Amino acid sequence: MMTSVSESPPRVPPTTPPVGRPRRRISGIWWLILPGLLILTFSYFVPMLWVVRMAFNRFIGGGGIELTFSFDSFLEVFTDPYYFKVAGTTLALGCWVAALTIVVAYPLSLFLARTTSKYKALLTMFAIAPMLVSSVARTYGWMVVLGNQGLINTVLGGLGLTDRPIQLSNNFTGVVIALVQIFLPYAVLAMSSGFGRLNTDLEQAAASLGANRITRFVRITLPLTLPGVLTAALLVFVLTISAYVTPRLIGGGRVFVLAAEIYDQATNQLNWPLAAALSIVLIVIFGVAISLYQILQKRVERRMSGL
Amino acid sequence: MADSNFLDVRGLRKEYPGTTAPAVADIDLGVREGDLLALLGPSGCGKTTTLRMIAGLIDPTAGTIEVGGRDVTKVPVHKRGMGMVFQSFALFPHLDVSANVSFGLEMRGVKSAERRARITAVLERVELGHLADRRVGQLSGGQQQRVALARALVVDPTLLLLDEPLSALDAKLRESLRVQIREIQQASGTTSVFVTHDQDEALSMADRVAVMNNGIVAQVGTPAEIYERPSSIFVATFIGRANLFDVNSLAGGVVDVAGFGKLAVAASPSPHTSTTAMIRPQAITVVPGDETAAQSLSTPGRPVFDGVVRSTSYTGDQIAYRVDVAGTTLDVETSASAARLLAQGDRVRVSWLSDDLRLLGE
Repeated sequence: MMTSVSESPPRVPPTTPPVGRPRRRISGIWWLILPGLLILTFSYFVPMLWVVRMAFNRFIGGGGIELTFSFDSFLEVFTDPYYFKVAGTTLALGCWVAALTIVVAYPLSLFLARTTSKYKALLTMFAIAPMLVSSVARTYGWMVVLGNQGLINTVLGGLGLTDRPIQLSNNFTGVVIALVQIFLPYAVLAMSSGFGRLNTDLEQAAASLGANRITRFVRITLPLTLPGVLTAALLVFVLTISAYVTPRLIGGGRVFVLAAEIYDQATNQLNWPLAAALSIVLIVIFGVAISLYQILQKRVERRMSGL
Repeated sequence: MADSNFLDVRGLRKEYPGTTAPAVADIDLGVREGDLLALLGPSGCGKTTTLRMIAGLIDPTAGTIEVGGRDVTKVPVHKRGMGMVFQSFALFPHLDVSANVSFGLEMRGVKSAERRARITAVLERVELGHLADRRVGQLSGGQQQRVALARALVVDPTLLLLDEPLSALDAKLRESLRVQIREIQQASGTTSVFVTHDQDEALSMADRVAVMNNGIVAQVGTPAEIYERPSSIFVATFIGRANLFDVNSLAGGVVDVAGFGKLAVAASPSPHTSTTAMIRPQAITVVPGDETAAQSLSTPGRPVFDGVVRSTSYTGDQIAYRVDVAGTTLDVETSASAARLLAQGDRVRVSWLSDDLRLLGE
């Protein structure tokens, strides 16, 4: 007869209710939260409310703003095909950059998470070191590399491989290339920290059960790294759709994204209500992306933890 | 003997670049079909490396591994058809219990209906039939390791390899699971190799034990052989407790021990070179020093010595004494029911059978 010993969770003693009348007082934790709360309130929530309010004002040509309550700016945003195109480009850019960054960063992160090399810390530092250089500087660097007289086209032309420069800047492609490189370190950081569940024993167990390299990746490694991938994808997507400098500079005035459009409306056209309405559109896109992320993440988490 | 081995490991060696001593140095091991071999040793002795080489998870530097007469040394891990159980359980956290068990069957292309039948059968065998739909994260450690065992066994592995399967569990659970694993292993008749650093586990579960140290096999034998006739100081002290004596070996199965004089010892392969003899605490008889009790010891050929009890430790079923005899302190263990409890400072007589005093190699 086999004996089985059950492991019971440690018993938690019942908490005794406080004696006497409960005193209302602010518990210590609130004092710790207070500074952050104050900063957020006055630097984020209040200005956000102001932006929302601004979106319902009316723009009168020449920088004038009529304090009123109208949907004019939103009507313009939702009826002018130009803004549809801008929002579409922004979304497409976000998706392309997120997808390509993941493709490039995934093997790197997997390697960094798994390596037992004594140089692991150094390698991780190398992977995230580009963050030390401002994205403005890196954007200028990419202009030098991607331009018609840039490094790539000079080399290709010099080798006689191309007779005309390949269009790598002043277009969507150039912006994607530059943003992928600029956001790569973020993706690597987000992913390798999310790969903690990965344990070489799991892959070895799968191998011992007859799974070859590809099956092991598809059935074990990929599902277990999915949470990290989702986090990195969201991060890069959000960073991309709010990117302003790189689309502006490498786009060469031909790639129109929401962030650049908002800037343009606010500072050049002085059409603050329209800039505010566009900002709200961008925030809604953020919101949708974050909700989507949370739904997916929850689904993945549930499969993992099994609730 | 070697011909009837199901698993045959010859000259297995593993060197890691940048290290001076090999992790595993040219070891030979044989396991007969249906037997369970325990690889026992302290951490870093090479036992896990050996197991992982047998599994195909580590490439050996030299040597061959044969399973059922087939050389598998160059066969990749996923084609070896062995089942492996890990210390960390290594259950797939994104799959439920049945999906974990199903994994190996799916890899072998077993049809869904047969798969279901085999999963049900194996889960019944490890007494987890009622938890088939649970996620592995909801199970206790002991349950998780039984799932891992089921997952390894369901594919009818050529060999079952267990890498410290009980080390992550608490003591009580460890003992019950020990019995359970052994019963399941014997019922399925799966030839198994079990890595452990726990001597009780090795002795209680294995048909044969290979004691490893510094990358070599110090001794192989049945649990009784290993315990009763250790070949070296290392084996004698690593497994159980031992009283060691520095000796001068003389001819004719006799040694000279300071304070004890000339003592007869058990026959041993290398009597003349040995400088150490050992006797297990259980092999020593201790009786009160008065005349009537001492009479019982007066058998010819039994050395008898006077001693004083230095300390007593009563653990219910056993009594452990430390007895000062001839300038040394001997560990003595006796079954608690056999004798009356002696107190500290009591004068006693100790004695043993000459066959229980054994010479040890280095």
